[in-house]
Amino acid sequence: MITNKKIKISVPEKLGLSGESFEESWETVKYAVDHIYSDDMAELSFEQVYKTIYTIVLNKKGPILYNRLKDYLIQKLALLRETIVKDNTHDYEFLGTMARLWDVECHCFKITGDLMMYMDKVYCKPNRCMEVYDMCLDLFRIEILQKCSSSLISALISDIERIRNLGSVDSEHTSLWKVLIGMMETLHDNRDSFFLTDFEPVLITATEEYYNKAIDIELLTPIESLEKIRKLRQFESMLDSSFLNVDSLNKLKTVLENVLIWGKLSDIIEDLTHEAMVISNGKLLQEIYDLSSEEKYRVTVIESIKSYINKNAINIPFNEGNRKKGQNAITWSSEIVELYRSQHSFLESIDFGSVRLNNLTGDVSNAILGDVFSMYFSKEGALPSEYLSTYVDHCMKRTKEKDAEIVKIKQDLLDSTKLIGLLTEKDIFEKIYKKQLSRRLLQQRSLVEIEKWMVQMIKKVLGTFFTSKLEIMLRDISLSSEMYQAFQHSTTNSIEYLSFAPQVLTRTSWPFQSTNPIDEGISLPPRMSQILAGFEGYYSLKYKERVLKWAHHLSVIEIGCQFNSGYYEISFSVYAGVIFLLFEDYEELTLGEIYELTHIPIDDVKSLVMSMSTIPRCKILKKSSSSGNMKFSVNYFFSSPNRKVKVPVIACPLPSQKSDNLATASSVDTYDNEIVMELSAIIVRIMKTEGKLSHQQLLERTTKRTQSRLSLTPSIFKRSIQLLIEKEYIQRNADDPSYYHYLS
Amino acid sequence: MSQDFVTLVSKDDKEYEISRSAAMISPTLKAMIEGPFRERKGRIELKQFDSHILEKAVEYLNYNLKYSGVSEDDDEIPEFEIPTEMSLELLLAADYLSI
Repeated sequence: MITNKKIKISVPEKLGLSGESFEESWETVKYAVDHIYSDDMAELSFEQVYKTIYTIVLNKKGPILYNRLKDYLIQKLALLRETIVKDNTHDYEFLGTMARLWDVECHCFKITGDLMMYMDKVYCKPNRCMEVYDMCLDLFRIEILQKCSSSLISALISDIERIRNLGSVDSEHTSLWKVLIGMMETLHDNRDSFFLTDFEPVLITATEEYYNKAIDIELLTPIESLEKIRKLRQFESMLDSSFLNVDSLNKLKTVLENVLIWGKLSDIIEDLTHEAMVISNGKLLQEIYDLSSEEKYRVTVIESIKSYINKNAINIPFNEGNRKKGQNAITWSSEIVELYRSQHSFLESIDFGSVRLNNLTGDVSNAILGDVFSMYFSKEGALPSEYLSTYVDHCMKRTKEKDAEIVKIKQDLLDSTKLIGLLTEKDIFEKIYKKQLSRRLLQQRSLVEIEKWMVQMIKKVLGTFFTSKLEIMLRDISLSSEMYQAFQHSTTNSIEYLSFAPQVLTRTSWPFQSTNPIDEGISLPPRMSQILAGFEGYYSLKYKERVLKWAHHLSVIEIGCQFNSGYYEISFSVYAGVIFLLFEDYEELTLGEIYELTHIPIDDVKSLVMSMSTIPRCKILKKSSSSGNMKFSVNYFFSSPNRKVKVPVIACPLPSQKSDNLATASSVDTYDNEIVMELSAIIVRIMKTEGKLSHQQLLERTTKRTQSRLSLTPSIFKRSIQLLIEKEYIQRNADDPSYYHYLS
Repeated sequence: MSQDFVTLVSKDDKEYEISRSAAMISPTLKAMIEGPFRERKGRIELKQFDSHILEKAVEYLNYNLKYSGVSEDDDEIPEFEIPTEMSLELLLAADYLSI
């Protein structure tokens, strides 16, 4: 500011420094305060009182005024306490009085504070004492609130509990509580509000106790308890939200959760979940699940769901035993698939929110099912793998028989692939599946398109590794039929009444050990050998480097034959067919003669002939013995309800085809051998990169690599190691035998 | 309470009308207007101030109201002129009115 020094600054007359003494001034202030308290201020001049206070403060009498005011207010409050707050009143009335008092006092404090505005500014702030309004509140806290805190709190709590007992929110009560809690939140000592320090803890304990007593779970069924708890929670949260702030609301919610859900419900949560699942009530389950967002709780519910499914899975009987194993497998699998399907669709309807299950994330319902079933399968060992494969086999065969059901069968298959993905013994599954697939393909028991589709599905769950051979098998079948067509075009010398369908198979991909040594020696009827030779010639022209070998044991002959009772189409194994064809030229034959003519080993001849002459439903040969020499001839009196007749193989001449379709000791044995080979390959790969590893390290790494496919047993691991040491791929450390070295 | 103007009365009984919103700038006046006191009728006696001081104070309140929305470094706000000889008295008045 620019000041012109020549201009005289007019000095104000001794503004306000009136001659009044402090006592006179104080009287004015006291008079004003009295009027404020009696709510009679209409005639009072604010300006006058303000000026008086202004003057006092200007005269440096601020502290005196401040203390004087404080003392005076204490007196007033003490008086009020005695007149208004009496202990004999009813809870609710007492609360009402308290609330009104608070309201009035606040008003008075506010006005007093306004009057003392100048003092606040000039005295209180620089001297760091509370502004008048705050001082008043503090006095209220000390004089009123603290001195009747216990009766206030107990009155409030008992009023709240009364409303809880009534079970309906009374807005008059809640708004009153709200005022009082507002008061308690406003008033605070140096650190926290009275509400936080004194009331809230009491409220929380009281709530806890109240709800602890409110429900006795042992007297109720799980569903009833849930219902009750739901009601209590709903009511309490409605009640709380009507008078509490968000913080306390959440605190009480936690308390309720603790008391009702942890304290009460957790004992029955499993029963409850199971019950919801028995009646497959998705809404109920959802509700149970949503009761608490606590991770621990959710995991409990999920575990209960799992235990329920697991219980159901265990209840599906395995019916072990060798009789009717196939049928058992089908029953078991269809039930398991059904269980999976129903639970899957049930759980799909549940919203699990986001919860982290161990290491599983993503779709919770799938994770649950995955967990349960894979655990269940792993407990049952190899059997599920066998059974599921048999189940697929069964479904596949049905595709051929019942066209109308293909869609449904496809769905069944699709569901079973999900389970296949969860199998523990995937290798066993693959092995059995391969065997069954090969039988289906060679005997044309299923639709190739569906087989192809199924292999794709399996590929999705198990990966290329498991299905590459299956794919090659399917490819062979397709190629064969193409080639056959080409062959038919190329050859002119087709033989009447004889149709021939060759299937060229890649030997390594099919689960057969090799061709049967006896095949080479067998003499076939001339018509057959002629056509085989024709094909051989055609094939070797087309693929010069490839070796074609016949595997008669995999083939089937169908012969149409006129019996006395009608015409039948009889399907044979090649060997049986060859024998049967002999009777075109001979009336009667002995076993020895048959051997001479066919070169089939005599033992096999015997069992083949036996099956054709003893089994009632395909007794196409008859046996006559004269002078101890058994002779066989065609049984023209054979009759059968069906036109197609199959000659079963009682004892197949081939070791590899012995077992019907399930893993026997020998197949498990070859399976073990294959694992050993595979493991060795893995170990070599690990050792090649690592050079040197201890036994334990190696075991860990190998386990890690293989765990997705098979369960590594120590004995197999040792066998692999032994094999590698023998073959000098690796070597034990001379000093410390627990270490292995890779030998390059 | 509902009037839009309040009247300020000076030592020599001169009356100054001022809009309610301008008067509210001073916490002191605000408390007077809003409180349940005699002043709520809209007539505020400020007998310790000379009329020219009060006039200047009213001028300032209006000035403050007018430019309260404008940011401080805006060039368009004109300087509020205070005659030097009034400065001390105005200071006291400002103190009293807490402006």
